[in-house]
Amino acid sequence: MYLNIKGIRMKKIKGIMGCLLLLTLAACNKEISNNNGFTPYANNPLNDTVWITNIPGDAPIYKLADTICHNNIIVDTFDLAKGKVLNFGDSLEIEIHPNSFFVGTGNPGSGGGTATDGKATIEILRIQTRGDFIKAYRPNNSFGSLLETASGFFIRIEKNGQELMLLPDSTLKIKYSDIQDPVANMQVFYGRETFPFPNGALDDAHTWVRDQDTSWIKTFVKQSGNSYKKGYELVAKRLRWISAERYLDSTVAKTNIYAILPPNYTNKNTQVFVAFDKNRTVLALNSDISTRSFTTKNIPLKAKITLVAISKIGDDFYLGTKVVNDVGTVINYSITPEKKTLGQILDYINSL
Amino acid sequence: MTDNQFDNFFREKLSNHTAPVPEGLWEKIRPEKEKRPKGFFLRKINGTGLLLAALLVGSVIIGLLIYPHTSSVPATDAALNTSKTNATTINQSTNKITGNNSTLNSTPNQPSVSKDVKIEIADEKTNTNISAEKAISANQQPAANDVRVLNTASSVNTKEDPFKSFFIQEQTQLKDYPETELEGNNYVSANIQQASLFYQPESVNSTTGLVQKNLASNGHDKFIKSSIIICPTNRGRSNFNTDWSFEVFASPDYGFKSVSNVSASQQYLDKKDSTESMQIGYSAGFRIVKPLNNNWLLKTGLQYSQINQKFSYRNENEIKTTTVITTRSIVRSPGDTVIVTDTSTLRQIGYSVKTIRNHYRSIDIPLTLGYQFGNEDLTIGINAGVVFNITSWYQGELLDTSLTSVPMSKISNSYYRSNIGMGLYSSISVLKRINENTHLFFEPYFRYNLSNMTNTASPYNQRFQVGGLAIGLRFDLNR
Repeated sequence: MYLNIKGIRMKKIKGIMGCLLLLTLAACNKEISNNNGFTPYANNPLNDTVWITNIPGDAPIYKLADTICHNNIIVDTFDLAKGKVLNFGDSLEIEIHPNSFFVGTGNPGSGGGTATDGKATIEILRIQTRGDFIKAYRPNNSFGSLLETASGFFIRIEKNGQELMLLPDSTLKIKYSDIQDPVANMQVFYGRETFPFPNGALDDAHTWVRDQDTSWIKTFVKQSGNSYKKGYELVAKRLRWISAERYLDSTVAKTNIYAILPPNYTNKNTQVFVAFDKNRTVLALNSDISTRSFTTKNIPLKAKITLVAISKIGDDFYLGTKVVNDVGTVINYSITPEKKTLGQILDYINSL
Repeated sequence: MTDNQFDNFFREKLSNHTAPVPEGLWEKIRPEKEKRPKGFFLRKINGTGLLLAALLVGSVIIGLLIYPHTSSVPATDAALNTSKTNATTINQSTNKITGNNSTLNSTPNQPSVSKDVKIEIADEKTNTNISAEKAISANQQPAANDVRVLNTASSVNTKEDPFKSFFIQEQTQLKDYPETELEGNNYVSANIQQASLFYQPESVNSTTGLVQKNLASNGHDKFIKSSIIICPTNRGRSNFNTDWSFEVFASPDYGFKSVSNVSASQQYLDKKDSTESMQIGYSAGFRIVKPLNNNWLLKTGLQYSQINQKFSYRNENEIKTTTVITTRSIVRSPGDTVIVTDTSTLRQIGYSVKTIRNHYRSIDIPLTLGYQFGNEDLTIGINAGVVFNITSWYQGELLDTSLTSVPMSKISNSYYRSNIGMGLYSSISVLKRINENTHLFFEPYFRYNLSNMTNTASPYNQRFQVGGLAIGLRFDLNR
């Protein structure tokens, strides 16, 4: 039964409408766009999330260390046969005794040799603040034991391009004013290094070794006008890395801490330090491949610390920080570095 | 009173009575197949009008010799027109009639139909005697249009035409019909052909037999004995073809992009060209088809078109950030292990190939004039016309002059116009009848846009030319 409308049967109309409906439905295009594909660059360092056991010498962290390392080195000359007292302002005085040096293998512990004379060049790098120790990649620990520093020095004497060593029983007296009032129980520590010396600033083997003479470093107070100069008189028996350190209280309960960073930050491109708030102590966290994290031990409980992560990925620098007011039950800290300029990173490090 | 007396009584009383046939009656009782236009090209051109008829009249005569096909003569009753062959033989028999007006049948062994013979044709209300000529004429041309045939045909024949007197006579006898009815164009060619067929000497003997067969086989012969049939007229109407059709179609399309530089750099054009590739689009719509006659068609409708384009853009140095949840076993102190879960983000740098399907959409009104020919089962048409754009809109992304991918919608106002103007349209259609009133058609077409789709702010000119294959159905309506 179909309705006739001017000769057009309702069946025909239905058929037409059906076709139109199909066409309309077909015209409705639900697809707007296809899924976007993403292909990571194969050799881009940002995409390198692999942790490795043996970090190669060309890894970004070495370049990072060289980039942020100190370059304010004091350079002077003296006569090896006569010796000299070098004054660098009011805060640093180095007394060099005559005929105290020899040309050795360069290894500070290699013992005696032939004395030499003539003109020599002395290079001095002062590391006083926490930031200085970070920039110099010389954390304040001695085989895992925490140290508190009262400044350190890198002293290198060269003659004709050859590095000289102190003769046995010869000393080098360093009289300096510290940024803090001197304390009585500081001891002389020497830096243990990889040998031959690494070309770069970063030395994984570095640790501070206490001098066999464990006597405390002398302090002085000298009036200068209306003020007083305070400092230490450090007698060094070896060159290169020298510092005034003391062990932190070993009776305080300690714990391990872990710094966890996003996958882009690996042990190839990132170095993490912890700076103590109360003490002038800086530690470098070691990479833990099993947990893909950076860790260190012997952190005193309830210590206030600042975690500093410095990364170099490609040509970009990243800085991540985390202030921990009370090291306690939570020992893992997530750090999310942000891209920074080198100047921004150095400013922050110097402020520690 | 015998039956004959009773019949004679009514016959005498109603012998001069005429009754008009209700309008539309003939259309209803015409066989459906007779309603459809038939014939091949030479018969179709009857409807092209007087101009075309004049141009083709000479070739028709030759063509008729080449194509001696029979014509389908519309009949009042199916029994009166059982086949085309019968119609032809009627005409041939008419040839004989011209030679002897008193006898339709010149063949001795065939039953003769005398001019004076009373052929009774009656409907339920009338029973009227008419002359043989009128009866024959009525049988041959039961409708008003059919009567027109005779008039037109007689005008075509020359003086020497032996049929002229017949046609004139017929016209004279049918002069009570309005002249407008006698000048219909739709059947001119058919009658020309019929007239030409009168020259065919074959099948003469069967003519009268056919007539008698038609008359005798008339299913209504018991009560349709004789009548003056007043066929429905077209008075007050135009002789324009009242048929119309409706088409729905869908078409896979392919757009051909043409770009010319205005102020863009060559690098930009190269990049743009490399990021864009045309894909298959489609059109869909409907059209109203108005046959102007048997061959010429006027079409208009509404259609939606979508040109698809693949936009592949390689975005370099893209940072992808992924949230990563890691679980670690860390040692707080010897013998004290803690499971730590950390949520962080992994950043990756790389390139992304952005693949987007751009859509250039438009709604248009096509207006085409077509010419079609063929037989009732297969028709071929040629169409040409214009396409008016109503509106166009776009979706997707494209490169801006800084070679950055930007959404097309945002700059559509500055680069692309919302109306792309007019285009030219041409197509060839092939129609296949699939049932009584439905045709399946395939119509390869090409659309040439006359103007650019970009505006003056665009650094380049761009336009699309579109080719496609429309597939659809045509529904014959109002037939």
